[in-house]
Parts: sequence; C-alpha cells; structure tokens
Amino acid sequence: MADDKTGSRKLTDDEPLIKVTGLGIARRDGQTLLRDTNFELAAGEIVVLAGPSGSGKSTLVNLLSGSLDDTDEGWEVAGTVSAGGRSFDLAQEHVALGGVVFQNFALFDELTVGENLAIASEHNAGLVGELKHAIDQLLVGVDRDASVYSCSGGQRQRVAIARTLLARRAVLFLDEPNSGLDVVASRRLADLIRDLVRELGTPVVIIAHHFRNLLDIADRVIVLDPSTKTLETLPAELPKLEKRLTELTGVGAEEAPTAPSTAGARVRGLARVFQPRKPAAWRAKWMGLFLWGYIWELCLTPSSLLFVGLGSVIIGFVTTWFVFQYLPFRDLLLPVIHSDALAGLAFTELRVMAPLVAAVLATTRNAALIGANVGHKVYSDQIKAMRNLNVPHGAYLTANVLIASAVASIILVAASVCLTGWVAMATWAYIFPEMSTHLWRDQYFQRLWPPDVPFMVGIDWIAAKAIPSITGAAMISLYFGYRPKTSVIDINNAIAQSLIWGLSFVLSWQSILTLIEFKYVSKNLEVVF
Amino acid sequence: MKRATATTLVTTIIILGLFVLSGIYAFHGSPFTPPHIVHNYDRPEWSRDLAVPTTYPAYRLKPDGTSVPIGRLLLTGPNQVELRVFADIEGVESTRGRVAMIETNIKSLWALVPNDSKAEILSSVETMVGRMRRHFLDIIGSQAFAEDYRDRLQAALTRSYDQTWRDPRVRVAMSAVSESFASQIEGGELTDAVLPIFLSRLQSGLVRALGETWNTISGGGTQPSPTMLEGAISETLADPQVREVILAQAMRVAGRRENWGFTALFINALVDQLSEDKGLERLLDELFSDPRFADPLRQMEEDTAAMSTNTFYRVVGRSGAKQPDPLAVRILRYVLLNRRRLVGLYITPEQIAGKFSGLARYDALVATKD
Repeated sequence: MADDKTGSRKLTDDEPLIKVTGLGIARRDGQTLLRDTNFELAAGEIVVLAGPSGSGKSTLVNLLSGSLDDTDEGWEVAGTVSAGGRSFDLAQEHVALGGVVFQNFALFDELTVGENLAIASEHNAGLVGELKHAIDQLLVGVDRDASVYSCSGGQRQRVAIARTLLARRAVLFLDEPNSGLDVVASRRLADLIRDLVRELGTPVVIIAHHFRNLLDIADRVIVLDPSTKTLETLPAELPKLEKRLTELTGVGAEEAPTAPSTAGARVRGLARVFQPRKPAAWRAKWMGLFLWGYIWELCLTPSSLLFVGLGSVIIGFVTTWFVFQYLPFRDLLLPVIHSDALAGLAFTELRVMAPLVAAVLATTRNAALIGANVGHKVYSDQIKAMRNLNVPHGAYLTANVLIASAVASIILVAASVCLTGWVAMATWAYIFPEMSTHLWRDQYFQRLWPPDVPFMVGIDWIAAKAIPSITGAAMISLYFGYRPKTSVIDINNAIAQSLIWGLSFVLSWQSILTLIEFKYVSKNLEVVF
Repeated sequence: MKRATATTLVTTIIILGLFVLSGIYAFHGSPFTPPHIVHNYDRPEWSRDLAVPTTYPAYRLKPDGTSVPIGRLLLTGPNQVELRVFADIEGVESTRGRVAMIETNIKSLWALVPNDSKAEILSSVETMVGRMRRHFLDIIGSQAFAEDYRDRLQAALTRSYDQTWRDPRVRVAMSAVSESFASQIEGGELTDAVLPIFLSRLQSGLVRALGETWNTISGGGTQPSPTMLEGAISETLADPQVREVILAQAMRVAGRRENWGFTALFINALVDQLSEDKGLERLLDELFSDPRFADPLRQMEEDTAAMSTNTFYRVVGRSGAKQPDPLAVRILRYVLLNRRRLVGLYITPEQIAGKFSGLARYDALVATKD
C-alpha cells in the first residue's frame, strides 16, 4: 500500500477497499432497514445489489454516497466504515464514499454536456490522465457543447457515468442503469461498465431489478433481506438469485444469463479519494454562471420584461384616463383639482401601483419558475447529484435565486416605474392636447420629485416594498421547491403552493408597508400641501 | 434556467432601452433639449424670511384673465430667485414684461380679477344694496311692523343698551377711558382755538339778540331768541380753524388703543346682551316668520344669494365666470388654509394698463446683473 500525492493511497488486489461494520439504518419513526450488518468491497469488483422494492437499497446507496439528507428524511444511522486507512463513524459523519449514477441520470439540465463534466471535475480532485482517457472513451460521439436535452438516452447515461467518475469517489454506484433499455442497449451498457472497471479499477455497485445482462459481468450479488434486516452475499448466478428473491418477495426473477461472466478481471488501481462529506465550497466561475442564468430567467428574458411592461401600461393608462375622464363635475372641478390630481396620481402610480403590480407580476411568473425549476431538480435527483458531486446547491441555486430575485425586484420595479410614468404622461397628453408635457412633469412631480432634489421622494419606500416582497416570495418558492418530490404531481403542487403563498406574501407585505407609508405621508402632507 | 440566445439578448436590450427611454421622457423630457429656460432675479427684501430652497408655481395671464402655468419660481438662495420657464412656452421675455412675486392673500386674489369683472361685481353689489334697502324700508315702513314690532323692538334694544351700560366690565373700562380721555385732549389748544371764535360769534349774536330784545320789549317780548346760542355754536363749529383743531384732537383720541379697546368691549357686551335676550330672540323669530313680511324677506335672501354667487364666480372664475381659474383657486385655497405661499406672475405693461390695473401694485423682480 503506497500513499500518493493527494494523501490517498493505492491498494493491493487482496485488500478490501471499503469495509463497513455494524451498519444499522432506521427511520426516526422506528422502521428499521438494516441492523448490525457488515460488508466489504474490493477494488475492481462489480457487485449487484438486489432486494425487494422498498427494502432500502437506494437508502443504503445514498448513505454511502453522502447523498442522504437526514434533515429531509429523518434517518438514524449506526456503524463504521473503514476506507483508505481511515475509519469514519457513520452516526457522526457523512461520508462520501461513492459516486452515484442516478436512474434518471440527474444531469444538470441548465448546463451543457461539457459543463456537467467540468462542474463535477472542478468541485472535486480534478481530472487525471488515466481518468481522462477513460472518459474520452466513454463519451465517443457525444458533443460536449450540446445541451443535455439534445442527447439521446444512452448518451445521457454515459455522460452521467462520466460525470460521476470525475468526482473520483472510491465506489461507483449505478442505480437501475438498465431500466428502460432494450436487450442490445443493456448488453452494451454491461460491456461499458466492465471496460470501465478494467481500466480504472473502481468497484461498482449496481442496484438493479433487471439483472439479466448485469450478472454476466458481476463478481457477486448482495441481497438486502428485509426480514432479517441484513445484507446477504450470493454468487452472481441467476437461478440462485431468482430463488432467493422469490423467497423474499414471491416474485420471479429474470431469465438466465446468456453470456459468460467476465467478472474477476483485475486491473491496475486508481488513486481514490476517501473523505468525510464537507460543506462544498463554491467557485466564482460557477457562481457567476448560475447567477447570470437566474438573473436572465427571472428578470431579463423578453417575456419577463414584457409581462411587467404590460402591467405598467395598464396602470399608467387606466388610472390617468379614469381620473381625468370620469371625474364627477368634470368641467367645474378639473381646473380646480388638476394640479393636485396629477400630484396624487404620481404618488398612486409610481409609489403604490407600479411597485405592487411589478411585484405581483414578477412573483406570479417567478414563483412558478422557481417552484418548477427546483421542484424538478429535487424530483430528478439533481439536488442529490449536487450533494454527491460536492457541488454547493445552497450557493448555486438557493443563494443565486435569492440574489437574482433581489436584482429582478430592482430592475423590474424601476422599469415599471419608468413605463408607468411615460404611459401616464402620454395618456394625459392625449386627453389635454393643448397643454405642454412640461406642465405635466411640473405638476405630476411637484411633490414626488421637486426641482433640485437628487432622487425621487419615497424611493426608499418603493425599495422597502419591492425588494423584500419579491425576494420573500422567491424564498417561499424555494421552500416548496425543495420539499421532497415523488411524482410530477408533487412538482405541480409545489408550483401552485409557491404561487398561492408567494402572492399572498407579496400582497400582505405591500399592503402593510403601504398603510404605514400612507400614515407617514399623511403626517407630512400638512407640511407639503 | 434557460440560456440567453443572441436573438433573446438583443430583444432584451431593445426592451430595456425602451424602458430607459420612457423613463427619461417621463422624468426629464427630451434628452435633446433643455427642459426649461432660466431667468435669474434678485430676491426682494420682504421675502428674505422664506426658507430656501422653496419652489412656487409661475403663471401668466391670457387676454380673458385666465391664468396659464408657465413654469416654476425657485427661491434658490438668500438673494436669488430663479424663474424656470417650460421650454415650449413662448413670449416670456424680461424685456417685454415683468415678473412679480405675489403673496397668496385676499389682496392678490382681488388684484387678479380683471377690471371689467370688478366693475360688474361693484355694480351688482350696488344694485343689491339698493334692493336690500328698499326691502328693509318696506318692512319697517309697514303698518304691521309699526303696530306689532316697533315698540317691542325698541324696548328690547333699549333694555339691552341699558344693561350693557350697567355691566361692571363696561363701567370699569368707561371710567378708565374717561380719565385718560381728559388727559388726551389738549384743553388749552382747544380753548385757544375755539373760545375767541365762539365769543366773537356769541358777541355778534348778542348784538342781534339785544336788537331783537329791544324789539321784543317794544313789542312785549322778554326772552332772548333761543337761536342765538345755537347759531353761535353752529358758526363756531363751521369755522375751518375750529374744525381742524377738533379733527386733530379726534384723531389723537382715535389713535389710542385703549379707546378702541373700550369700543370693542362695549360692542361685545352689547352683542352678548342682545343674544342672551330671549325676548328679542322670540321677537325676531316672530318677525322673520311673519307671513306679512314673507315677500320682502324672501327677496332679500334671493338677492343676497345671487350677489354672493355672482361675486364669487367673478373673483374665482374667468371666461365670463364660466370656469374656475387655476391660479385664483390656488390662492383661495391658501387663504382658506391660512398658509403663506407665493406665486410667480409674468405680466406685460399692456395687461396692467388694460384689464389688470390692480396688479400694478406688485413690484417687478429685478433681473440679476451678471
């Protein structure tokens, strides 16, 4: 055994790479998945993890990959894991032993193929020569500048495997990798896994319900027995596995393997990183990329600007038109109240209505977007993938969504105030064509922006209403987006809840602030009027 | 999270540009022209106590007297006034007209009323007063008033008058005023001026009286004519020298605050007595609800209402009193709110010589010398 430059070390073929002892996993409600279980993984080993549905296979993988979030799911864990000459208490530490290739691949859908790889690489130990070769082989025919949406299912799977390899974890977990694949594709996948293990020596644990082609390459099978809450090792032989699973579940297994097993081939070892899960550090480059992406999405897209612009046009037109055209005793009162009406309109339009409508429209749009975006990331395991890959979603998603929302509140409200003012002026000029727009400006801003005052009076009130309301609504959307999702309906519910509670918050906040503002303003009216 | 494409990015830049442009036009006006033309003036002495910076609206007058906002007057410093005229207002030139800074009060409200409207107001007031006098005389000259109200009204008034004099406050005040009154009259001056003239008039009167007495005696009369003393007094008072002295003394007395204070106190006390007099109240109720006086009273009420409305519209309205004038309304509002405010007014010599002679009393601001 020899230390490499990173502090990790190379192992001999005989030595177990990972040794887990006394493992116990239970829910906080008392349901136990595993009790005092031991198992080992050797370098270059391919293991199929089988068991009845709901027996806890994915939970075990999440635990060992550092993706299990006990704050969300409420787990209690016991046991020790020994790896790389170090020992970790699973009850105290989150240990990121393995990289997970999720069933739905969990690729970051806002990034290209190349960026998916880069983000994994840059938040981990980096790309070394032999790994680069393996990944280049894995991604033959995949355009790295393409979006992940444009890739086929097989390509996406290969990208997901490559991305996980770049995290350089000690173990590679594959969650239902052949789910939905036809026989040919499933065989191709098995060959690919076999070749990777040969080249890199990384042990692979495959969670599978359809193990027809996977048993061909597996060294052994570990069955999770829900009755004894233990892990049981079986040879990689379909009849025995099928028989055992039938005993456990009463459900038959698949047909016998058609290809001879190639398990057992051992290759050179790769330096591996054994580390407790630490708070992921953010990188400026990725922070900037995500921040710009969210600012664009939540604020600067043409649809966002036009949405708020339309609301501003309606406010500017309707309020001005109805005040001057439908004034009771118009002919008599108009000369009397014209100046005060304009000053009042300025207050109503620019300090109350424009911030309110901009916040409501921005929240309507952004709450749905944030709820859908984060909800989808949770549902498609992208958040778990981020945790697994040491990518700080708290900074890249949560913080950036909030920062982008604050930026959006400033830009959209400012845009709304500008356009509302202009539409109000244009409407007034249409009603009174003989009058000067300079007169409009003089009387409209007589109290809101007197001559030689550097900023519009009450800009602090506008900011106090707009920024917290829009950002607060984004926070509410994040809360609903991050809640566990088990189906698309959960995402829809998250969107609906984000809208309902986000808009309620905006309306409540703005109403309360406006009432306080009115009280403050009316106190000062005596001085100004 | 979607990525921006070149098309969406350009579209966003265009939309943002439109937002910014709309803001510039709304908040500032065209970026290619200045928003106003500035005229600088020296700040008049009487306005030095007004805080700076403060702004007031500025107007000019149309031929019919309607005011048109032309910009804003700014008190920019202890010695400066700035008139910012909207860029699209033409014809406001220091060489052609004058800019006045006017305080908003009843005087300025009246000064802004065109002369023809003022004449109409005075004419209507005169007409109304004449009609009121006629109606009043109709009432008090009627037999019904003489029979049922005159004596009772006179008695009530007399009663109140007497009670007022018996009011201890009035008596104390009267006593104090009497004492000071004596000291206020320059007795010597009065005597010096009046006595020789009076004696001379009395002497000639006596000569005439003696002659008459002689005649009377001859004819059996013994008493001097009672017109002798009256004639002397009348002639004395008619003498210009006496009149001048008496007037000077009267003015001196009138100039003393305590004398006016007593008058005010007396009137207040009298009004208190009248208003507390339940008998008088019942009498007036009876008088005003007497069907025999219904016609003149109703006409008086209608005349008063018509005159008030007409006066109000002539003061506040323009264009034949059809529309309230913004400047007049602004001044009226500040008057009603009892707030000291200013307005700027640009007016030409032709307007002062023509319809707005009342504005001549306002001094023109003096343009600041460079």
